[in-house]
Amino acid sequence: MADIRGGARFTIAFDDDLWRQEVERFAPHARGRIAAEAARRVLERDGVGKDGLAACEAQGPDGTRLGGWVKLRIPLARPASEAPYGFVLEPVLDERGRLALRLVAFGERHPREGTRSVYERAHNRRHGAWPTRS
Amino acid sequence: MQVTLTEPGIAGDYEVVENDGGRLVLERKLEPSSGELHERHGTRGLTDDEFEQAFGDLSREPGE
Repeated sequence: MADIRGGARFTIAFDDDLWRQEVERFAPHARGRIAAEAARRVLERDGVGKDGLAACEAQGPDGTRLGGWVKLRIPLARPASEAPYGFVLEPVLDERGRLALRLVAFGERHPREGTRSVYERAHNRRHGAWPTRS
Repeated sequence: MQVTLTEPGIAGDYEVVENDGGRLVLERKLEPSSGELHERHGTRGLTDDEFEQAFGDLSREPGE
């Protein structure tokens, strides 16, 4: 098993195609897109510490299965009530055994009925289908 | 069930998320998948043990 305890901060990796689909699906001046773009600038410069991260649930009440992935509220460093968006990130190891977090999904954490949440989008990226509530 | 539409402008793979008496509701399949991202960038996900080692002390926020 690789030694992946890592340092105090983690690098965030962004795939260009995924960024276009997840963030640029919002209009250029939409609050969510502006918040995501601002967060990316900070994360690319500083990375993220564990204090900003939370673990995703292995079995969420919405049917999502995201165990082993982590999440970050957007805008950064705001209390939950002021952070309606989120990044879902997958911890990954490259061929040299370096640990990073890769963006997998962006969106609203608790959207109104009829809109997929960031967690449902992440579930789809992982499992290839939308989650089913039990 | 998944279907493929070929009409220009909406072409792509879709998942049937609702079938109301033959009225289908489709949602576009999200690509790249996390697996495809691993292939593209030469990475792999963590094992359960590796995740616990690196992130086992993270807070969990139920109901999210």
